[in-house]
Amino acid sequence: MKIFIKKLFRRNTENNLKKFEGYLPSKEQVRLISTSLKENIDFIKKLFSEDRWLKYSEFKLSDNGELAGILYVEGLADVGVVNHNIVNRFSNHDPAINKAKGLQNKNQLQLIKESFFPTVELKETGRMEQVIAALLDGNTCLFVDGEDKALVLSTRMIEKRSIDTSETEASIYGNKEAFTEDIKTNCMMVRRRLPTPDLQFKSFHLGRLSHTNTVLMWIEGIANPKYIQEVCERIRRIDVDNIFGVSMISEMTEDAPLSIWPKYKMTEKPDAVVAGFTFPQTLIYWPTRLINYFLIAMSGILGLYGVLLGFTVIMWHLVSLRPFGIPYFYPMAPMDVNSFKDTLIRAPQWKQTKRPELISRKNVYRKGTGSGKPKPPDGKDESGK
Amino acid sequence: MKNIRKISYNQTMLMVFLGTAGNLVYIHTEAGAIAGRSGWICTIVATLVVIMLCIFMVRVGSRFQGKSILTIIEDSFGRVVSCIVSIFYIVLMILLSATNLSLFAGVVNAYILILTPKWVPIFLLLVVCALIAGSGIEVLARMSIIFSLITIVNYNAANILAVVTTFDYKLLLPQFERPFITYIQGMYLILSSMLETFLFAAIGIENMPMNPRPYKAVAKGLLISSFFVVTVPTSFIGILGLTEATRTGYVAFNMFHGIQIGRFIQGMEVFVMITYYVIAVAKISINLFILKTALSHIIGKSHGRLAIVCTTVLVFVFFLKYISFNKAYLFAIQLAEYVTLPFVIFLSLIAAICLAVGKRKELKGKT
Repeated sequence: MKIFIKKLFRRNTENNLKKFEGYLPSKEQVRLISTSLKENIDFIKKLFSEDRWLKYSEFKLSDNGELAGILYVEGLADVGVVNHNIVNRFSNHDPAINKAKGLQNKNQLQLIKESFFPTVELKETGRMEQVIAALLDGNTCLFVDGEDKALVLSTRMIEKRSIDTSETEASIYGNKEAFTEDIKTNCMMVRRRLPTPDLQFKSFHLGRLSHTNTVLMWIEGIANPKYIQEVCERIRRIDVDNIFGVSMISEMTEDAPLSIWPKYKMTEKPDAVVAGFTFPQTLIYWPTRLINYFLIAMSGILGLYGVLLGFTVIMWHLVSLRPFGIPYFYPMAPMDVNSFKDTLIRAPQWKQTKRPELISRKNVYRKGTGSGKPKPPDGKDESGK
Repeated sequence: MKNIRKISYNQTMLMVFLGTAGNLVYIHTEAGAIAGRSGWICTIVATLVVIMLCIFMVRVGSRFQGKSILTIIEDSFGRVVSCIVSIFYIVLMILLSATNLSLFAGVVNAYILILTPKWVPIFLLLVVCALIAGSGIEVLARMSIIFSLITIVNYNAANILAVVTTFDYKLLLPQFERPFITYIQGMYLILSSMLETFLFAAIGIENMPMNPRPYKAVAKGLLISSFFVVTVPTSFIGILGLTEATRTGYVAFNMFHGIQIGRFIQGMEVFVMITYYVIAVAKISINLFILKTALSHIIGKSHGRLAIVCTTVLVFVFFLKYISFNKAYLFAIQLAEYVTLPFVIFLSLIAAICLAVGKRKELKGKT
C-alpha cells in the first residue's frame, strides 16, 4: 500500500513536471547563434510566426558588402530610441571611415561596439534563447553576417507614471512619496535616502514566462550575510510561470506560509523601507485580534486552564516560526537583553544605541557616543552665560 | 554531529531551572516535614551535591565533543549496552513524567476543573507538550525562556505580597531543633528528586554550548531553582507556621488565598495556578524531549516524530494508572529514592569508565 501511494505520488509529480516543461524555452530555441545572418533572422521570424510587431532592418557595413541586421519588437522597444540610437547611426555611417581608423582588422562586432555605440548600454551573447528573451524584454538585437554572436542593445520602452503620494499609508509629518511600478525609479528612491555604497542591490528575473525583474536590497555591513544568503537561495528556488506581485514572492519564500502571523512588512513608501533596514518590524495587530476569538473559545470550554493551553499553543507557534532564519520571537526568545529597548515598550530614540545583534552581528552600534540624551550645554545657566 | 542543534548559555540555564523546579514544586515542603524549620539546609546541601554530579557529567560530555551519554556509552561499550541503558532511561522517564502529571492533575482537579475528569486536561496538556518537544531543542529552549520569565515574575509577585502582609519571623524559630539524622533524611529526599536534572544534563549535553562552558550554565540553573526551593517553603513556614505549612495539601494555594489587601487585591491563588501550569508544561516537555532522544537512539534519529508519539502515548497510559494524587505522591518519592538515585549513580560510574577508556585510547594513539 505504502509503495503504491509512493508510486502514485511520484507519477503525479513527474506528470506535473512534464507539463511544466512546456513553459521553458523550447528545445529549438536553445541553440547557438549561427554565423549566417539570414539563417538567424529566418529562424527568429519563424519562431515569432511572422509576427507583424517584429521589425527588421538591414544595413551595409562596408564596401565589401558585409551586412548587419537589427531586430526589435515594436511596442516593447522604444521606436524613437531605436531610430535615434541605432538606425540613424548606421544610416549616417560611411563604410570608408573604418579603413581610415585602421579598424578593418578587428572583428565586426568589436568594431560596431567601438565606433557606433561607445556610450550605449549593450551586451554580447552567443545564445539564441537569450536573444529571444532580450527581444521580448524590449531590447534590440543586432546580428552581423559572419559573426556567431549578437549584440543586445537596451531600447526598452518604459511607460511610467510620476512619483505620487501613498494612498494606503498616509503620512502626516514624514515624506509622502510612494513607490511606482518602475523598479529602477523605486531603487533610486531608496538610494537617494541612503546615499552610501554599502546599499547593495541584487537582481533576479523571476517567472519562466514573465521574467519579472526583482531586486533585493540590503546594507552591507549591517545585514547578517547568513540571512542574505538564505533570502537569495529562497528567491532563486522560485520556479513559476508568472509573478503577480510582491505578495506572491513573499508567499513563495516565507516559512510557515499558512500561519496568520505576518513575517514581512509590505509597504509602498521608500522611507518605510529605509527605516526597515535599521528597525526591523512587522505588524501583529490583526492576527492578535483574530487570536482573541480562539482564546475566548478555549476559555469558554475549559476556563482559565483553556486560556493557559491556548496561550501555550500560540507561544509555541510563534516561537517555532523562523522567517528567513530569524527566530520570530527574537529578542525575547532567544533572549537578547540589549534589544529589549524596542520590544514591549519602546525606549527613547537616544537610548536605542544598538541594533539587534542576531540580525547585524558585526556592526552593532547604530548611534555614536555624541547622540545621547539631549541636554543644555554644560556650565551655562538660564541667562546663557 | 553536523545536525545537532545547539542552544545558548542562558537557555541551558533556564531549562535546568525549570526541570528542577518542575520536580520539586510538589515535594519541597516534605523536607520541612522531615527536618522541621531548618529544612532549607537540606536543600542547600542537596543542591551542592547535584551541582557536583552534574558538573562531572557535563565535563565528561564536553570531553567527548558534546556527545550525549547514550552516544558516549555506544562509542565505549557498543550498541547493545547503549540500547539497554536507553531502555532504562525510557522506562524511568515515562514513570517520572506520569507521576508528575498525576500530581499536576490533582492540582487542576482541586482548584480549576473540579467536575471535569482528570484525564481530559492532562491529555490536552500532553498534546501541547508533545508539540513543543517534537519541534526540537531550539523551540523547547525558547519556550523555556518565556516559561521562566512567567514563573519568576508570577510567583515572586505573589510571594512578596504574601510575605509583606502576613509574614512572622517568630514562626521560623527555633532553628536546628530536630535530630541530625532528620537533616540527612531530608537531604536524601531532596537530592533524589533533584537528580532528574542530572538525567537531563546527561542527554542534553550534546545540545549545550561548549563556549562558555556548559557546566556553569547547569550550576547556575540549579542554584536559581534551589533559591526558590529554599525561600518558598521558608516563607510558607513564616506565614502559616510549621505544622500547617508541612501538613496541608496544596499549601501554596491556601497561602495565596489568604492574601487580602483592601477589597481589590485578593484571590491571588490564580497566580500559583499559572505557575504550576507553566512549570508542568516545561517539565513534561523536557521529559518528552529526553524520551524522544532516548527512543530515537534505539530506532534511529530519523524517526523522531514516531518516537515522540509513542512516548507520549506511553506517558498517558501510565498516568491513567497513577491517576490518584496520593498514590502518585508516594510513588514519586519512592521512585526518586529507590530508582532515580541508583540509576544516576550507575550512569556516573559508567561515565567515569567511559572517560578512563577514552583517555587510554588517547594515550595509545599518542604512543
